[in-house]
Amino acid sequence: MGATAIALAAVQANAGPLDDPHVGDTGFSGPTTGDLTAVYWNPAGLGLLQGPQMMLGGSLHTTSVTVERSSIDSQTGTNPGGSAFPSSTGSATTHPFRSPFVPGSFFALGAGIGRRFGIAVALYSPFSTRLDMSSAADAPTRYHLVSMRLDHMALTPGIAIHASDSIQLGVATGFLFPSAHLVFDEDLAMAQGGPAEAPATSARYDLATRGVIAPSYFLSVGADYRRGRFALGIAYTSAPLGTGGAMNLPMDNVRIGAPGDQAMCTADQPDCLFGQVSYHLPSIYSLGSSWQASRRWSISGMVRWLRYGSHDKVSILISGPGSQTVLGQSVPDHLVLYRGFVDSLDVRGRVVFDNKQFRASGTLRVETSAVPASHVNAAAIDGTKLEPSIAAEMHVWRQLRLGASYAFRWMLPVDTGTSVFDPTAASTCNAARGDLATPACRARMDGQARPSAAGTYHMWQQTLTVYTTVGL
Amino acid sequence: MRRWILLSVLFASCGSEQSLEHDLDAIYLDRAPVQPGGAKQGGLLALVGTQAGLRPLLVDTAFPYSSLARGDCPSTPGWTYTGRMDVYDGSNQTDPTAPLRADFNNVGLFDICPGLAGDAATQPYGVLGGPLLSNFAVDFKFPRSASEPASMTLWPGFPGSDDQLAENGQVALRFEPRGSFTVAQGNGEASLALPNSRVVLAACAGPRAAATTDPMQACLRGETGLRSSGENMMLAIGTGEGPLVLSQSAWERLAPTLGIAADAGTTGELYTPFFSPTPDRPPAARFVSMPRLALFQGTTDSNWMGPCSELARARRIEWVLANQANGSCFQACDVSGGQPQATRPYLELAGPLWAAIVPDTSDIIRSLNADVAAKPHVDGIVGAATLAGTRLRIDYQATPQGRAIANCLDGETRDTCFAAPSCPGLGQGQSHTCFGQPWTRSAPACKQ
Repeated sequence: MGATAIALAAVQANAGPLDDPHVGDTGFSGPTTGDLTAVYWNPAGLGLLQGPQMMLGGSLHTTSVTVERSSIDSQTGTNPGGSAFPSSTGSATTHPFRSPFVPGSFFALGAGIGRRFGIAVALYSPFSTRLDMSSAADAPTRYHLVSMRLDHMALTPGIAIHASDSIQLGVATGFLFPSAHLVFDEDLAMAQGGPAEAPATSARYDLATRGVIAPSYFLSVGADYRRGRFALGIAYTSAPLGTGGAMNLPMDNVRIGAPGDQAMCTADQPDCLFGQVSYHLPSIYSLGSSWQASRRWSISGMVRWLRYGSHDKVSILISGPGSQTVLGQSVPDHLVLYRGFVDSLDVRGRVVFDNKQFRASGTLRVETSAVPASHVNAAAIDGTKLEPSIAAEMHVWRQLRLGASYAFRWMLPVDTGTSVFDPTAASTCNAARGDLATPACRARMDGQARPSAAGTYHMWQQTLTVYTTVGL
Repeated sequence: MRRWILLSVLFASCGSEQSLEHDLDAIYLDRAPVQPGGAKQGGLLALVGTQAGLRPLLVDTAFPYSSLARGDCPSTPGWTYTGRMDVYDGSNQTDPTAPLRADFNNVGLFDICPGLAGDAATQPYGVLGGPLLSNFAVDFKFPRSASEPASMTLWPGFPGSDDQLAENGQVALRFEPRGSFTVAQGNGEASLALPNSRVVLAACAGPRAAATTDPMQACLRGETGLRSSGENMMLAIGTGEGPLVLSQSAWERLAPTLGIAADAGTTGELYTPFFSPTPDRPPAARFVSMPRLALFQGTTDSNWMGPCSELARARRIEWVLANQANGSCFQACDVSGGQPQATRPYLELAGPLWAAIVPDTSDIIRSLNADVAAKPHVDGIVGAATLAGTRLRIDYQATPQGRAIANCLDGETRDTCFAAPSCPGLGQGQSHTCFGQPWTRSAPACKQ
């Protein structure tokens, strides 16, 4: 009775600006564990599966953000100035309880075969980011973000083999199905030198994918070594293959709200805009070890190295009608949103108690920022993060285990200092006729010629996960 | 004799990763003359940084490699090197303060001065050729007015499927890049393989004029080819050339269909980057005028009938759609299973068009057909002047094949430029934008 362990346990939160650090993390999983989450963590762990099994999990994930923007000059848009902003808040909630094809879900089927092989297939979302800020026409963060949903569902089959009694090797090939919805404003007066951030001279871009997009591919390889009470796992997951790590998403739903309701399309072809969004995803190295300290207690540590350095910008291209409209003239048909991410480290320490019928864990995770403070903006909020989490799991029945976890993540407040975004670069570059030898035009090329994002950013996230594992 | 075959990819990188820095805005360009004393509507000219300052840089999609002379031009051709090409705004060729618009570093270049562009006074110091351009989706604008600058925009790709672009009135012509061949240094010491980068399209040269107000053209089943007009050709897109360049043999096929003597025209000079004239090798060509040219996809499939037959079918189906109110019907040769056949997208250019006829043995025609693998014979080049009034986006990055996306610029009329996207085989009551109009099919198939 009451076998549902409404435990206070650890798991999932959308960390980094793209990465989900707790995919398939039951509070007990990592590069050295031999369960179905190994498809994500380290495919070599599939070699430790015993018999056929299925795992189903879902996470309720909430994000809260507060942005206190620095004041700006009303003409140039530079900091500081006479125009102050009220505090702005944003939030996002995700859960897979209506559809399994959203971030926070984890579904896997697999089996160990003859103590020699392990195979599995899993559906999960390794990268996702969602946030809704205020959509008001004068919202302080609208030039960087009004709303964002960037999801990547992975369908990943994996296989592992016992290379020796103590070494397993594994490989998994993933199919990454992206979908996106991005809304932000563009200050059309910036290139002419102002006025800055005036709603009357702003256009709202609303771009979304439609339907299922052809997947990208990635590869995971890993090795697992165990001897006595010690286990060591190492894995590498590539960025999307064949495109240099780039994702190119066709955005078939494009709307641009231009000032004065200027028409983008002709009356007989109202859906004339098509877009493409391009960005890079990181590759990930994972290393973990565990030590069985006593019969019931074990400790483990793990590090993930996220190669975010390639995620430098988001490029947006839009095509419209063949005949000339304001698109490509007063309303840009191409935009670059600067990201400038850097590699980050995700370090965790964990203690686990296990008495065969019940197990519990406590984890402390620390992750360095993928976004330098001066690069932070509403679409890329990140800083050093601390995340304590707890998890519990119990055998409800012989072949059925239920578990739950809870994680609270706190980002140390980020004061951007001087923002990398320089609204005057647009007009300065314009005056220089687009000369890429000038710093202003290089800033514009990189997507930094946008309204300043200077301010202080706060973020909290909570995740409650429940999951079940069934032996078949 | 030692001989190395180097992969062009290795040549391009030479151990260092090439860097292609540019923004997504237009790079404005000047135009070379079409021919000596002619209008400045010819090859596209940017500026390039050299040790001696800014010098003309030809932008030529048909040129099989990129080059930048390290010395003065003209000079003795050198060999290859990995270097830098700084591309500057070319709209004012005498502006020493022209803005830097793209910076290609660690790229494979030939130390060669290309041939003259348009006239004897326009000496480019380099060519931004197909191999470099093929890293992008390149958006070219060819205004008809000489007062408007031409432009080139480098994007990483071009959004929209062929169908979506068709609904917007844009023509997507698919092509398989061509032009891969092996070149050797003058003394035969080394050679290397150049990549496929040339855009070659099927063309119907010299078709008769057509209008939806013309009388109906009857066409029985199996008569598709009989009812066509013009001459089938394969033509490369060459933004560094001025006129339409045709081989002598292609012209000899075409001239009778136009009712023109094969030796008609006037003798003149044709300066192209493919050819460096010397006193004993003058840049001689014969210039003729031809009425129109329709460009089609460069790829073929099992239903492909050839450009002139496809053009004739498209015109018949357009005629039926335009005359449905008068009880028109689809001709038997254009119907399959009771449904009209889908038409192929095409871009029709009319003018008259200025064409330069050159010998089949000329450097330019031989270079066009120097592919390592056997490919359909290329009859010539569609030069920049022929493309006046169009916007042409060459999306090298598109999959599974490259595509040339074309539309006519504002102000063009059907008499000068007409972009006809594919019109799918409409079922009864189905609607689609065809031939620039939103059509709903109501016409039946004609009874044989």
